[in-house]
Amino acid sequence: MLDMKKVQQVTDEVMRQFVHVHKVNVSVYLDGNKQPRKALTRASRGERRMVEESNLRKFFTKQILPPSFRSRNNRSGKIKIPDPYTFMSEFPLPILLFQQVEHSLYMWAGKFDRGEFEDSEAFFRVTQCESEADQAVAMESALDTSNRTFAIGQDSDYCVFGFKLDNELWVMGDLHVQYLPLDGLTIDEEGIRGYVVTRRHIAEEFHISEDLIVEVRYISSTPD
Amino acid sequence: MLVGNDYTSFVQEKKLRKSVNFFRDHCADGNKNLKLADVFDQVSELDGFHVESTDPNQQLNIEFSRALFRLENISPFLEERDDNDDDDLAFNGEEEEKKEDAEEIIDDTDMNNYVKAFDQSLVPASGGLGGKDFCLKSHIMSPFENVLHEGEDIVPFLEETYDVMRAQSLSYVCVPSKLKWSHVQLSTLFQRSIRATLNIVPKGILGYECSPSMIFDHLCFFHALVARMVEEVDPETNDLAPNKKERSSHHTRLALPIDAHKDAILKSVKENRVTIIQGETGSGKSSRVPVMLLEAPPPEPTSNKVKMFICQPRRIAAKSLTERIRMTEPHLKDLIGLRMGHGVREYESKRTQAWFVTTGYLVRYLANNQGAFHDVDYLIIDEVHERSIDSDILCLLAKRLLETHPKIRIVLMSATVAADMYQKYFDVSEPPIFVGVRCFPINEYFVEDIGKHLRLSSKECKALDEIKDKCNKSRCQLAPNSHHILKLHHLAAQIAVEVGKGGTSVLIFVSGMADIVSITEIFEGMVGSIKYNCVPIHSDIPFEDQMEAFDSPKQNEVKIIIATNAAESSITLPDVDNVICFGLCKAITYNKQSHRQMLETTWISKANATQRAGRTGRVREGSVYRLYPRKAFNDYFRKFEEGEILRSPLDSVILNLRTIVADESITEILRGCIEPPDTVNIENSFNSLFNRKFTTAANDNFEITSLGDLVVALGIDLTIGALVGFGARLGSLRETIEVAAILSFPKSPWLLPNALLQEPEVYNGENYFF
Repeated sequence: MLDMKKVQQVTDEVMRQFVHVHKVNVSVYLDGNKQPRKALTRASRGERRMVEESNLRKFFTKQILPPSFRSRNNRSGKIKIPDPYTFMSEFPLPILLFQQVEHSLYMWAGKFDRGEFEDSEAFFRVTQCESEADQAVAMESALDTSNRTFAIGQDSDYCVFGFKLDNELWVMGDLHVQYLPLDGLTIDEEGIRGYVVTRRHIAEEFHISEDLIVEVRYISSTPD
Repeated sequence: MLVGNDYTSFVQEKKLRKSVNFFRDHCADGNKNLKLADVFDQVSELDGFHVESTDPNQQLNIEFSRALFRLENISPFLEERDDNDDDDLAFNGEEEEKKEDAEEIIDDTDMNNYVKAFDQSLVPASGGLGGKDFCLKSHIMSPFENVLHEGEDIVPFLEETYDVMRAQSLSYVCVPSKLKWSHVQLSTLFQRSIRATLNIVPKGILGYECSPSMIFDHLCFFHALVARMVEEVDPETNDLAPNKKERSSHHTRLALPIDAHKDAILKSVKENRVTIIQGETGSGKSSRVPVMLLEAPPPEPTSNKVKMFICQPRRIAAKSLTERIRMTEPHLKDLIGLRMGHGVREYESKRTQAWFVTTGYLVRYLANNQGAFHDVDYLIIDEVHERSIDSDILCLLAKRLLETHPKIRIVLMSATVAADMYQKYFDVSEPPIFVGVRCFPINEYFVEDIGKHLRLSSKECKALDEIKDKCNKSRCQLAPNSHHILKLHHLAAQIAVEVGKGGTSVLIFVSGMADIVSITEIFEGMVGSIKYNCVPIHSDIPFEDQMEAFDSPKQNEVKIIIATNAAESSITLPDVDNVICFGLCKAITYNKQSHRQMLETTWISKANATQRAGRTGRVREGSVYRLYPRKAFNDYFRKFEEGEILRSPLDSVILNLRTIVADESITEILRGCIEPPDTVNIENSFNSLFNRKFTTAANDNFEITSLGDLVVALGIDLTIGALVGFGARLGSLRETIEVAAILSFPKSPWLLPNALLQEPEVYNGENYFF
């Protein structure tokens, strides 16, 4: 039920804040159509979708809301409105959500291509990836040795991405993905604030080498 | 910390239990409450630790994700994704729940099969994107046309809804409460079709045209669905049509009252140049007459085939009739086409013989292409009683056509046509053909009868007498004063209480919002076993709130529908047994001194009064209580509402007529109208046009200036058009277009807070979001 006009407005506003207000260069990487050859890989997403769909159907056919809407005091009969993230995760995302955001982003890129923002101090570009965009985002952040390119997203995989320590590129300097989680990000006229996590932080916290993070990921992952 | 893993999941953990057990066995002395830090401690001590799997698929995943996370080349692992893979949304319905859903909009016993067929049709429908011929709408609609069975009425519904959404003319603040699961399913299909189309459009090529927010408005879509559901209420039982079979009967050929008059109609149109057909709503005039004429041989022996234009006052009527006839008369499907303003052409081909058109379109087409009518046999003007300026000009042009085109025949149709006037205007000797009769009687009570018929108090009877005296004294020349109106409010409430029985509705026709609020307050103060539920119908009230009028009242409830003339025609309220009519309305009047239109409270016409009474007696006997005397109705009320041409400044009409007919005197043309406008009004408009620099002279010998050309081309209010023109000259075109767009919006952009419409917390400014 998300209004696509609102989605468009929010996307436009966020991009305006980044590019025009705070003069931040923005590179957007969009997922491509190719995916890893696999048999089981997307099972958890499929299960999650089924739960979301079931929640929606129950709501429309029997007026039953998911457990996250139930108040602690059930006898009161009151409905608790969960936080937005939980709310969104209980029901399927709007089908046209991605197309709407993508369209808004291409409109921005088109304006830059046509020179409508030739006075802008920052650039904006959209890149269509062959596969999932995470690696391209991580790569762009990692290759900036000044550590001023941030991978903005909502995916802890950015804490795992990184060159192998014996990679020849290491001579360039500090090649770490600067992960800036979206849920900790605040953007307004005054500035952009958030916290940055790198793979090095994780490795130091657990006293293991960075290379091992990829390996332990397989055995320590939990269902989301 | 390390969660959200796409490549090792809960399912895999179960399948690869041995891998997990490895750590339980080796790292923590069998401690089942294994901590992540312990795992890391153990792993860090193992030299060259890496994960492997004996399962080939799992091993492939491990190798892929290792390459991915180490920022190495992953191309060898990739393959094309199946787009439908994640699209099962909203269709994995369990059979049990499907059975409970008795009003499936897409009625299919196996929704999954339906969705598969839909998916298969998405691919060919989405292909073939080719340059200038690409039409967003037809691509989006084509999967529905391919998959749905012939006769299914959902396709035209979706097309109409699509047009409305594209026009962005509706705005709602909340989701309708009657939304069903089947609505969500249809919405999902529609959005998937839009997505499939958008995925083939090259990015940035069609710009804003292709923004999902410009194509799909879910609130508008759901409201249209709910409104559609209301339309399908069975008037006898108040039940929703339970399945598609019954609903689709709307589009099968049923016997209609007009069928009995087929021979008379064909005989009349053959023998007369002008035929007037008068029949009550639902008699089948609009849908049957074109078919009768199309199926009959041409009236002139020299014609090979029949050719005709059928004119409707509104776009939605023209469109829906085209669709309806194409469905109910499949053998004539290829002969029916649609033309409307802004270049809309649908179903047109070399075989087309009958075109449904809008009045506005036909006026412009006829004025500029009289030659194109040399082989036209019939010009049907439907709903001729709707006396818009375009309608009167069309009659004028049609009358001229009779003189210049000896072959053409004109058919005028309406429910409440002023037959005498049209007979005289078109010089028709034959009387009108009456088709369709009312099935249920309506009891009429005027103000002097009400006291005898109902048990009212002496105070109320006295008020009735006073109203009667005032109306007779003023001869209904002036609008009643506030004291008179207040009495009407109280009387209406008392009559409604007296006649309203539990489970029925009373419809009160008032003049404006102030009356609605006042009467509602009277009912809110009433306490008793019967609950009075007031529902307003007014153009300022959101559509979904007005839809409440269609809900059936409960057994211990009387629904009081308080309406302006917005409810006078085009709607059917099946449970209304009693109508109370104030005899008043708000109407646009023309002030000669100021050369301006004004909205004033005024007395209605007899035709309006008949239309209002006709809201009852549709499915059973009904009563109408008229709060004005019989003498006023007979002697003082106008027979019909005045034509718009008499109530409006003629600036725009004159300017448009000049673009149509360059050489003739505009004054003479206007004098040839069915009800010619006042000469003073015409002269005022000449002066006004000249003063505003649209014309070169303040008399009939004028030419249009470049500014005048622009405003005519824009087709908007002249003053607003001038704003755009001056904006262009002064270099502020963008800003003036924005201001013009806001000013052109017919309603206030703000939602007016009203305690009648909003819940207290919303009215008081809290939580005004859905």
